[in-house]
Amino acid sequence: MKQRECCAQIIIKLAWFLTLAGVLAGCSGLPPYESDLPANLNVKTRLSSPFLLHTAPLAGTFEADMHVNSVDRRCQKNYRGSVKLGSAAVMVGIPAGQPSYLVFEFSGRSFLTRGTASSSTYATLLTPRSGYQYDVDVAYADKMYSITVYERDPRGGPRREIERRPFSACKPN
Amino acid sequence: MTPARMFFVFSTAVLLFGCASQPKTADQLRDNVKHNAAFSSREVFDVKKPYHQVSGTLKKKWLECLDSTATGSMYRGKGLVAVQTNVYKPKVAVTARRTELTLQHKVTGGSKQLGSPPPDGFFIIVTDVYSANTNTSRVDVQKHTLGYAGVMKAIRHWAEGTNMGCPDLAQ
Repeated sequence: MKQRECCAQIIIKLAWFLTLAGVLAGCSGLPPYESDLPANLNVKTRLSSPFLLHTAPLAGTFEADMHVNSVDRRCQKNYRGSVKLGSAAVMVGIPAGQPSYLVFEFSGRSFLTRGTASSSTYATLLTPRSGYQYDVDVAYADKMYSITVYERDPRGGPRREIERRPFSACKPN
Repeated sequence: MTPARMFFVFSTAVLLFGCASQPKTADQLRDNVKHNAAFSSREVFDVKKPYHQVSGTLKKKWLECLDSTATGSMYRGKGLVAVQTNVYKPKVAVTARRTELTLQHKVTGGSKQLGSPPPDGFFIIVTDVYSANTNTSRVDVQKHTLGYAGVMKAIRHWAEGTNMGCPDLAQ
């Protein structure tokens, strides 16, 4: 009986560490955002982990994701997938002329503290104009972050900063 | 009574005392700070900028940065992970002479908040901005909660214009 309990405990521990290893390896299970639309959103990211425990040498992770939600006329959100934000710039296409709800999530995880994790979010509504490009600068350092969205006319002219719009700004029509 | 049980009883008493006095309005929070309630603190500072400028900046950053959700998870042993989701609701009221910025906190997952919190959560931080004189504004930040040093620091940065980033509410 004791041997059976011991085996069960070992299996539970093994399952836990395998799950954790999977998460740390990047298999977070988030469906990737995929779109055939022409790329109009260009995201550049700079991340600096807030804790030593959330760094790779200590088997921790610190990462950023952008979750893309489409928003319909009744202001209903529909999750479309996520984009992992790293040191390389990412370009994706989101529908022009209709609002998308972009949720940026910063998350850290520490293997040494048995997978203790934390995350925080910043979200904004964005309705891209047809033919325009949108640059998003994402930066995280010293436990502070900034997310700035710029609109750019590819035909020229200076880009302009777009203010954050909360979800409550969505009005059904 | 074993030391462990004594610790549990003491911790529960402290928690219940803390929960019982958690503010449900901005005025209750100010009152708690005035009476030096446990876990309350206050920071008052002047900024050499006119009132309308400081008020405008703080209003923008308050609504932009503190409308956030933070999640924390902790390994509890035996394969169990406890997850808690904290939802923050910033609000602003502006008049010609005074700006009131409030932050409410609600727990939506993992554990239950005692003490019947209001729909948007207990008030944890209240910031009042006044005009000290023509070119100086006074910022009065009152807090009744543990932690949130990052928010306190960010408020000063925003008011002084030294760093317009958002504090990570999960840290």
